Amino acid sequence: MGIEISRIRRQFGAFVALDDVSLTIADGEFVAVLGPSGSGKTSLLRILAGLDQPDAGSVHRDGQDLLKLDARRRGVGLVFQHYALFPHMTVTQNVAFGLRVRPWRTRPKASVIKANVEALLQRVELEGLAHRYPSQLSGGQRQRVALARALAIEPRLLLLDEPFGALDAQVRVNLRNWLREFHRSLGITTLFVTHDQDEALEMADRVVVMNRGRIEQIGAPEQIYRQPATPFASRFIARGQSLPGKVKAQHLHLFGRAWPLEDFSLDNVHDVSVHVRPEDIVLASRQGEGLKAHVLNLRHVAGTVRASLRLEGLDEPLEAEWSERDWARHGGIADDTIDVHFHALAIFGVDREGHVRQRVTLHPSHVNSPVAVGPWRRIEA
Amino acid sequence: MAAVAAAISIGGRPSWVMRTARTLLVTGAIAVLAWLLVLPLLAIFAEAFRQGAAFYLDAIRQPDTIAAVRLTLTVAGIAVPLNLVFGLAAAWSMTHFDFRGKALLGALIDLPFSISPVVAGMMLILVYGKEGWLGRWLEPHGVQVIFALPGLVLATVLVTLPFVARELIPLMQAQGSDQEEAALTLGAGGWQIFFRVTLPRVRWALLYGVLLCNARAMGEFGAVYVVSGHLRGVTNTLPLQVDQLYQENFSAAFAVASLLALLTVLTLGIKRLMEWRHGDDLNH
Amino acid sequence: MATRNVLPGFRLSTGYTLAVLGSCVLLPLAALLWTAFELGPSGWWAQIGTRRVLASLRLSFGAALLAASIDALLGLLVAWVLVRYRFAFRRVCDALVDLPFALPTAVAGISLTSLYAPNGWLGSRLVPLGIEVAYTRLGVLLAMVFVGLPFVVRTLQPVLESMESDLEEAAYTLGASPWQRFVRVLLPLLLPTLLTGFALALARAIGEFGSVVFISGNRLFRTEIAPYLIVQKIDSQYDYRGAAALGAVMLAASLLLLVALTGLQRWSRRWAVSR
Repeated sequence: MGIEISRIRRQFGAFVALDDVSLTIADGEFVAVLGPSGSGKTSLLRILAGLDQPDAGSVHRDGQDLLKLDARRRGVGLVFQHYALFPHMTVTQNVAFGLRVRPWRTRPKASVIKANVEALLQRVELEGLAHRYPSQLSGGQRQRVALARALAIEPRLLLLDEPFGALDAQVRVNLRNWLREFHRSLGITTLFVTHDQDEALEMADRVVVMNRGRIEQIGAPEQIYRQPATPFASRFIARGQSLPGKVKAQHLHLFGRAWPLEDFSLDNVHDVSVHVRPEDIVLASRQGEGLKAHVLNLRHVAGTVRASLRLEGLDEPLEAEWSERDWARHGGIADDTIDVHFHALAIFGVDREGHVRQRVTLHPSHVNSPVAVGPWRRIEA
Repeated sequence: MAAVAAAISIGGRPSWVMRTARTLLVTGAIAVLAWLLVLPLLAIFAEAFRQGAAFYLDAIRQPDTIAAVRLTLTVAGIAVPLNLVFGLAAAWSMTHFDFRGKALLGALIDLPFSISPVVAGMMLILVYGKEGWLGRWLEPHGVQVIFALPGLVLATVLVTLPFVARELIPLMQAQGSDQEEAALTLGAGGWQIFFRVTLPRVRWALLYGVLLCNARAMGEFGAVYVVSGHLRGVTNTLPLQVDQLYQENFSAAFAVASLLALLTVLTLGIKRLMEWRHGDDLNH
Repeated sequence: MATRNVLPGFRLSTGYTLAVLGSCVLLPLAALLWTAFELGPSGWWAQIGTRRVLASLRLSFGAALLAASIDALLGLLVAWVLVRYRFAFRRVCDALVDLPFALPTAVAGISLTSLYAPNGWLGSRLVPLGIEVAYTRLGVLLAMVFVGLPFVVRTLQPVLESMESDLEEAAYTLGASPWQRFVRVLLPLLLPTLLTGFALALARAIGEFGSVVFISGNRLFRTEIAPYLIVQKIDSQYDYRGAAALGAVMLAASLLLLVALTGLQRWSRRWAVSR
């Protein structure tokens, strides 16, 4: 059951939009495809909707080849980024469109269409606006009309292309919650595409992280955040920041210290990335224990303290995040020099083509010894 | 171009239905253009050369024809620059200033387009003719407008008045007043701003408008017919000469007409070239 | 933008513009209307109400309406093909569309006549079939169609070119067939532009003289167009008042048509959405 996307490849001239993309979507799942512009997420969506054909690869649903079907028979509903509502039709006419254009054999009676449309408009909470034109609606309202219109054809797969991109922040937040609830009540397999991490992480059952035509990682939101599988995923989602670490002789060398790494082979590894998350930069409990960091600025935001730190050997400032309590315990003000150490480091070994070959999470001991022994933990790549 | 892609292949590969429809439509469109446009154009040259090249050259070299050519060039040579100046003045006024009645002025500038050329010519006779409002005062002073060169020029100016303005106004309005105002703050005077800032920016649109204006001016028939008096060799422009020859000597008329047709083809060619090379500057 | 009149040259440019408009356009226009009004209602009707004049008005307006409608259809076809498809000679075809616009009207007139005269290249094939074009109303219609085509095509082209594809894609994903997409989504959106093109072609056709007067044959009561009558009144009858009356009628009717069509356009744009 569900949808199997297998080794999709799509190229436009020299630009590779999708490079060997494979993905399985379970029935009723709410999947977010997350990535920056150019990552290929919209291309994938259009292929699923039938607006484009891949150069290679297949898409099957329940064993049936989806790519051979044209839009009418695919049962896929698409909500466009800018809604694409028909400006010369009322809300009702827009929503009814998909039913009215059915070949007369499969077309429902006019009264049935009317009833369906009314029910849908109620569902999306737009009953009073049935006879308005799109130009008379707000952004959020147009969004919901677009959704109702896509749902009217009773699709088995619902696709949403950056659904909240064009809306105000407040409207966005409200609609996000609303859509989540809506999906829960409907149960249709839903795939939505976005470049907003918060959105994806908040709404989806599973998140597919894409970059430059490739899938970087698939997993539950918390899982991706906690254990990003690639440098991109780490930067884009887990807020990972690059550190100038090097791996030599089974040790990680960073800021003049070295920690042993178990099972981190350098075979095929062309480049090593070391990332640290803001919340993993910990205030040292004792003076002189950790790395010297100069506090550039401090911001108090809703119960957390965020700081930009300047470390020796690092050009870019590092963002750190502590709870108000920890910071209060530590004392200190901006422009101080403090001691920090790293609670966890993600280390990636990447080959020439950019594939991750090795991936380890290191929890470095903060004891000030040149060759520290553990504690460390290893996560499979 | 997105629209093109969508039409050709929504959903990837076009079905055979779409491909057949496409072929039919393209063939249909080409057929329409060929029948309605190409045939008449070819007919001109076919008729012109029907009696041989010698006849053609002879017809063109008739003194009346040469006089008509000269007259046409003279009329256009006066009318087009006048409209050029008008276009620049109108565009300057409409672009850089806000004033009451601006919309009305815009409508007035476009008005000649809605007037039948014959009606335009007649209107001029009512004002500048022997018994016209101004004519009855001008005539005794020896200034003859209608049935003389000034009348021809006036009629041509009236009919082609909007051409240059219509190219300049949208472009200049899109360009805005910022650069001119910047020049002002830097101490430039009005004429300096005009020649050094504005003119260089609109030169291609200006040329384009002049091109269209000229084509129409040289080819104008209806308005000029009315004010002309049809004095062969004196007040016959090329189109009028064509008309008169048509009553007498069929093929000769086409020979002379072919000159105008050549002008048209040349105009279209230059127009195409300009659109291709300077499309952005033309706001097209 | 209230008082942006800081740049110099306001009085010069506006004054000159008004002076030219006044002497070339407004003054003659005023003379026309005045002369027509001088006749008084009864005199005016005496001029206009004759069988000859009424016949010419019927022909000029009737044929123009029909011609503009035909132009709308043909123009839509040509514009569609030029914008949406790639084919050999596309650029040449695109340049050709301007021909009726750029070709001197007299040249077009004699050319069309020679083609469709009974001994002409097309005429000789059509007359045996019973289709007479030259010197008939059909000829008048043809010439008007010729003259009006570029207006429709050039008005539609930029709109077609800049149309976003997502409305059509949305219709496709909702299951509409190509024909349904065209009729239910594209045509309604093109309607205002089509009307504009129609109006421009119509205005041109009503007032057209050179292209039509040759092929019409000017048969009394049958194929005399209104502009031809005006010329007759001036040239052979020196009936300036009569000519003015007829001219005023033509002008008034054209203006009315323009107003009506502007209203129609505004109505059909009522659902315009700004992105």
